[in-house]
Amino acid sequence: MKQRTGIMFALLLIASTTMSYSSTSSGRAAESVKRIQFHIAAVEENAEERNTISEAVVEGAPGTDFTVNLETNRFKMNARFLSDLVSPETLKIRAKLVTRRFYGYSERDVPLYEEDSQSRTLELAFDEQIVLLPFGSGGGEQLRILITPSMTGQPARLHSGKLRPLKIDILKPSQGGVIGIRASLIPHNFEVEAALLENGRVVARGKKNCLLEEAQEIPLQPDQQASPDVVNNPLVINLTIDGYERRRPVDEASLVFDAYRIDRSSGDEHRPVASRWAGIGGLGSALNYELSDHYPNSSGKKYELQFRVRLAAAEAAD
Amino acid sequence: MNCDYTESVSLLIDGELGPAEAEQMRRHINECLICHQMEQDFLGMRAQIRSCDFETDSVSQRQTLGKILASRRVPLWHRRITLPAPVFALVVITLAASFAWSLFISLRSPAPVARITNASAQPSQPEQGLVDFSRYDRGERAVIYKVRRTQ
Repeated sequence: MKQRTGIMFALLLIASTTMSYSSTSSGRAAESVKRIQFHIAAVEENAEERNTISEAVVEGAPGTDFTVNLETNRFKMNARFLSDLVSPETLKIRAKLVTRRFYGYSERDVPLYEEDSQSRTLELAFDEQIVLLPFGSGGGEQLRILITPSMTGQPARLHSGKLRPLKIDILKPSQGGVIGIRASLIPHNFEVEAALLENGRVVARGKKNCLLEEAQEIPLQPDQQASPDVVNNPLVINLTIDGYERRRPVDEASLVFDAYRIDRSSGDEHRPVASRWAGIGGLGSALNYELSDHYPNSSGKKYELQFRVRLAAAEAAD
Repeated sequence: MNCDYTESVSLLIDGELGPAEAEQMRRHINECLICHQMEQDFLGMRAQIRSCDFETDSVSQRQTLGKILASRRVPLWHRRITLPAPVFALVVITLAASFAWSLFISLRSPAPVARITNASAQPSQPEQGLVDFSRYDRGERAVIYKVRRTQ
């Protein structure tokens, strides 16, 4: 009896020690990911002085995205920044700028606008900053938007494991609200599985990690059960996850892709199979596309392309 | 009783017959009671008509004239335009060619490049409270780059 009690007590002690160790290590892991802060300041500069006209701070977990809008009576700018922490000291910032400038009136009194769109990718260290000149770099007076990243000491996750909420602090609002700041946090890293089905059976597959709004090529490797048509015409998918929507019960990811086959019988010539096909589906669910009319089909089989999108291991749905 | 020459009696009285025919007709009238009677009737009727004294007033005359002219006037929608066939063909060809040319021009030419008027004008609906940053705007493209922080 005493022996049994002793064994049970020892087992309980071991179990509690193991549980506390695992919670400590996961807590340590959660604590190791710190929040990132972006200080966004709009500054007027000329030869004599420099004047800050607006200032704001966006703070959130790595992967926080933000948008800076500038709107005057003649000019509009939408600057969107997607940020990813690629190493402890480096951020990958993908910027997309869209500007619209009033130009004048046509003969028929219709207002005319000049529009521009550009994309830039910057690898930014924490001792660097981004300079955005909405009106260009001409001499004289300039309006600059300075974006300065820094790592805060605060963990990205709460003790419960949930992400700390995003924060936007307006330190100095712009006059008339001409400069607006928005921030959001959505997963950026996805795992995409692609498969070619022949009469409902998987005969070729591929898998790749995809970053949001970045194209990735996924070659499908035929397996041993693949027919000669598939072996001689392996498929390659050029895919982009171009959106993420929070839904219930399951979040959804949208994708757009091109597909081509490598024609082994014609010197590995690339022949298009699908162009700008798109879809949206819940995470983990299958997205199927009928390919029978677009793929070499000497034996009248049914071919389908199937995708499954999941969050990458580094991401977790909040 | 009837005579084949009764129609010629009126022509004789009106002087419509040639000399030989008139002579022949006069001989026939002397021999034919029917034609002789017809001649007398025609001459009597002519004398009666000549003896009538017509007095017309100017007002009635004018009214009657107006009625006659009105009855002759053709309404616009009943009038006819008469053109020689070559002229009509030329008009039709000219109209068709003009139509085809205007259609060709309108389909061929792109939307006219707007001739900009009043480029310094403001948008027609300036929004309240928005700041004008035009002193910075030299029409250049937005620029984005990174720099090392100075502090």
